Amino acid sequence: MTETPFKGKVVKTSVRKKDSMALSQGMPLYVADLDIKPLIAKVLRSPHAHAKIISIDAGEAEALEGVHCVLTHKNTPRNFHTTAGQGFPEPSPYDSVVLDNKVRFVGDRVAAVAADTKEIALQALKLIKVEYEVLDAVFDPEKARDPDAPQIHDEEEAHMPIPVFYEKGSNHVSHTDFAFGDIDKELENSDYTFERRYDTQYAQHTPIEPHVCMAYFDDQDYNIDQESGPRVTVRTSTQVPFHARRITAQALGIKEKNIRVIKPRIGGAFGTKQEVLLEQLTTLLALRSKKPVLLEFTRKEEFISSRTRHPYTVWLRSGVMKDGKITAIELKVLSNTGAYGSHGLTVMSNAGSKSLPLYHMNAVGFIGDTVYTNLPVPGAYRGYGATQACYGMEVLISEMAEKIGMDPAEFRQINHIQEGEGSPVFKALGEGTEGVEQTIKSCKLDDCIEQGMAEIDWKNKRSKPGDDPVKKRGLGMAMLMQGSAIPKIDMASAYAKMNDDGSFNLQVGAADLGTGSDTVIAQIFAEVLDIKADDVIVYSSDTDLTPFDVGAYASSTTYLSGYAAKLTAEKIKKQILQVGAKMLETDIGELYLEDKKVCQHNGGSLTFSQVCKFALYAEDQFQIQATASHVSDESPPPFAAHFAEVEVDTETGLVKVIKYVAAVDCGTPINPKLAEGQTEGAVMNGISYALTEEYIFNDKGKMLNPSFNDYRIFSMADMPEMKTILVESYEPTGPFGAKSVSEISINGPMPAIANAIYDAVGVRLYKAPFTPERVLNALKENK
Amino acid sequence: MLTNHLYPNTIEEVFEYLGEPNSKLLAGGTGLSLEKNLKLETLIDLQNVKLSYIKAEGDYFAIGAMTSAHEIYKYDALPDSLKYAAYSVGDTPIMHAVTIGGNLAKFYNWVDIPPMLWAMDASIVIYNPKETVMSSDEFFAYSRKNNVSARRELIAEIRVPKSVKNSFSEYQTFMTTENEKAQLSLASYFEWDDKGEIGKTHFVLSAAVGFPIRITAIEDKLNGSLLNDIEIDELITMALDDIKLVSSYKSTIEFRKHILGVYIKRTINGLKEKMEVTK
Amino acid sequence: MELNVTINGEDREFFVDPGMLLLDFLRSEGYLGVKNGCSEGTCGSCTVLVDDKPLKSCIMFVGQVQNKKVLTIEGLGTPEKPHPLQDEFVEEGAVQCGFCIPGMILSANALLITNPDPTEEEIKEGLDGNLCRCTGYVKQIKAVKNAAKRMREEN
Repeated sequence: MTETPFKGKVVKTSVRKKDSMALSQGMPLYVADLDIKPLIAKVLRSPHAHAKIISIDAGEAEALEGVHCVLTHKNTPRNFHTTAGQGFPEPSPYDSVVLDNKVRFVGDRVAAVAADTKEIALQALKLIKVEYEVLDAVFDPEKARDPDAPQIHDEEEAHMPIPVFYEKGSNHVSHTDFAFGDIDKELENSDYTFERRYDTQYAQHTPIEPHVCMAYFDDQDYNIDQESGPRVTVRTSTQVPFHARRITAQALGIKEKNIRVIKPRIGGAFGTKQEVLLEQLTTLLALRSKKPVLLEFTRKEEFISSRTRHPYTVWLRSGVMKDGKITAIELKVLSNTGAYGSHGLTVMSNAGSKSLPLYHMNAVGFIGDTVYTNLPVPGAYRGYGATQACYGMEVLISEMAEKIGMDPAEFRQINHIQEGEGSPVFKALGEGTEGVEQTIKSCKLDDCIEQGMAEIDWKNKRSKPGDDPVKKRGLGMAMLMQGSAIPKIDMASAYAKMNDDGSFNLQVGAADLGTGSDTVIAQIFAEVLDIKADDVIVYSSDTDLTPFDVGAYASSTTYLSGYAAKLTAEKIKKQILQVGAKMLETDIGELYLEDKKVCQHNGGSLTFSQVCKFALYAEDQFQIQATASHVSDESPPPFAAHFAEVEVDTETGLVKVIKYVAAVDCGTPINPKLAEGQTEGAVMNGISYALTEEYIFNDKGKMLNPSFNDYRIFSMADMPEMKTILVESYEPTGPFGAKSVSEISINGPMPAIANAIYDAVGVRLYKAPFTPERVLNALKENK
Repeated sequence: MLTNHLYPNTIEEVFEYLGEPNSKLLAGGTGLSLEKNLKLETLIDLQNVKLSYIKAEGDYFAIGAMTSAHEIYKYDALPDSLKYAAYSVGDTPIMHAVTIGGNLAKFYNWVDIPPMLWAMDASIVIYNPKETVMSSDEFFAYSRKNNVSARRELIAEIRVPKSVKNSFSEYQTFMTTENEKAQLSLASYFEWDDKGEIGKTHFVLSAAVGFPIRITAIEDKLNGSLLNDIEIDELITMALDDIKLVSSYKSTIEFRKHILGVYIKRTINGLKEKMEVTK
Repeated sequence: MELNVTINGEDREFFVDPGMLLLDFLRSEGYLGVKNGCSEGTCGSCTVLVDDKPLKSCIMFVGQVQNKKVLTIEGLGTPEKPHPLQDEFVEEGAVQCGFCIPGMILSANALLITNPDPTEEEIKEGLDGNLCRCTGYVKQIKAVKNAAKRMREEN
């Protein structure tokens, strides 16, 4: 079934990322860099984890000179929506309004002000008088469903827009389960069985640019009739421009046509900007004040009031035979979605769908629950729930291998899914509802494992902690899968037209978050037409000017948006050949494209410029142009094998990653350097998540470390030696054989490091992150 | 509201300007700029007062108060322990911004350079406006009650004794990532005579305590002793009985006590090695 | 107050509010390559060079650059004639979202001024004040090495 690796002219070359020179020159391309002097918006935030707003008086704030608008729940529309930037109808509960009469976590929004300066806006916030009735709060997800737990969403209107489980009365946001085969019976007949619990923490994406949104009135915006009302341009750091337009319109009760959303360059996202958080407030402040408004999150707000990763508790039951056969695995997940249910259902179900299909077993089961608590709000985060589940799964897999005395690499080799195989899990778990059956068409896991083992020197270095009495070394590994887009749901589209000089404008709805997707899509487009990526002028993510795309999430852009660009290019190619055939008075079959020319097999040729000029000016004139949309029937997983070498200080508990190897099968790497960059960035984030990143709350639900001083992400000084190996396969359903690459590698470090710690010092860690104190306590217990 | 930024050229001018109401001395500015002190009216910027230098003077190094942590870190002749403390101040731009004088004038719980200076028994030259030279013991006792930055005084120079042949000093600081604020730091300094008898011991603990503190119980135990007569575990117990750590959400007191024990052990082992080498 | 400062090689005179932070001042004067990522001196995206030293402009009063030389990313190269660091960052794919890049390139430039042939460890140390969440730093280290080599060869 395997096809030979794709060999391209533009595809599989590391062309320069289109925007990178401008960005390295510091050009003003981000939201806040616009040459407009806006009003500055600030948000009043709740000091309580759970409280009713008895009264709110903004009179003094409104009277303050320089204040243009104050919003509270009393003067804002009460349209229930979800802030999750997902396709319509969203699989997330409609439990949010612009501003509510109740607050549900410390940092929840209470009021917003737009003023001439930041200082005035902050002063105005202090003048808003709020009287709260403090309510009981629940912070422990295991207690959230207790009968005596306070109900966090007691408002009548909160509901799920799709017909799935949602019991707000018991803070129970979602539930999913399935089982194939008889798990209990399989476990009974196993040589060894396991029951384990793993806990993961609150962590944040920390894009270096915090959330930022500017709403203003462009010349274009006056170009409408009076009845429609004013039109506003919203320049925002979003992953989902089209969803942002739709949800902002929904929240404010206005029409999509009144809003234009533009995503300029944005300073990192990683999922936290797949959320419509600032757009509602900023747009409304601009509409009310009739002035441009800028809302920028501070770093503290980014931590507390944007979005985080869902903390999980994972329970695993499994069985294994002495010969290495896995009999059964049951994965049970309790996901904490904080005060609002954004992505609560889908992140939870992804825990199963992106981990369980990886292995062969006789019986498989999944039980997933998501609950509300009075804590900050998780949302989408690179890895999307697979990360948290992978930790437990991959630690357990290594533990099972150890129990039967098998090398964990070999254990994975004999048990992993192969090309040509499916998994019942694919069908059972979808986006909140049923999933889509699929057969794996590309999987180079064996090569990933072998090449990774060679690079980390697995055979020689494993289980050799060394002679140093204090510092012990160890190796660990993990095996991973993710998906590529959401099958049968996500849609991407592209539009292109040809210019006189033979260049092309390519408009895509896809959102480049810094990943380089504009460049990758241009390469795919250029490959079809045999031109250079430089001949493709990409314009992306503008709801007025580009066709629809769901946006950058679910590892979809290369696979899905890239495919739409490929289809568009193929249509263009046909038109070019038709014009060429007319000009050369020959049949299309005699022609082919090469080097930006239409060539005849007998030697004649036309430049693209000649072709375009002929089409535009000479005969039967028309614009060579095309548009195409694409929905995928499946979501082919990229695969990876990760290896970590660590050093554990047995006296202090400090863990240092010495070397990290990520071998990734992402199909055809369209741009190898950018694919490596995705892997390296994800790995580094994953290492930092495994070792240090953690929200710490006091007993009132207040986060104590909302700053880069106290919530450290790794700097260059912390990094290990890193090696990325792109193991090429050919995915027939992807553009030129490509699958996704952006998310998968964040899932590896936590289990790989946990396994390496075990190899070094013989203790298993069941709670992340692996801080020195946790490691030391585990060492003490092990004595 | 801040309305003035003044640039005195001499120490005399500094004291003239200190007469301005609601004025503060500005060294690197890393603390003051974050304070959002609404009362502050005048900044007295020390950048033109010639206080940025490191000079070898007889038996000590004279370090001007405006010398940056980065300059200390990169100055070869200074003791490694002090250079490492300077390196631990923060990342490279922070090391360039933080000054040794600023670090001493306003204490933050996690500072790195001051405990090392104390362990090495540095002298601090202060103007008020009269010049006074204080020993570390005097200076830290003096600053404990009220930071120099609140006193309208000027720290001008820090005098770090040059290491004698039979000496050992070390700075250890516990962080989970580089450039993080320390959870616990231990600075130490020892001298001994040719027979191996310890003549001088300084242990200064910081970060895990509200204000840097000398662990006098174990200093007394070590002074006048031969290292072979010392039980490390006993020493650790004495230290832990002697001091009280403050609680922190980052790790438990119990854990940080354990780390302190490990650091004491490592210090003594380092000391043993050095004594062997210098024999 | 009056502020005399050389920005990107140009002697400039301004009338400024002394309470202003250097970051806000530079952005208000159109040096928008100076980014604001944390306002607490930790992320490094506001890094500028003051007399060739990298400093975080979000924790400096504007008056601290009185009579000094400030270099922002706008003063380093042009798209037509990029600085070798900029060119190598682009060539190596070291620029993802790009938000940390101006500060990081300036830190690298400061490092290469004093140390034209840095080791990998020295690069890591010199650039440790610039947090990047996209790249994992691997390609940035390579880019600095390549740029250093080119600059040594050009000199």
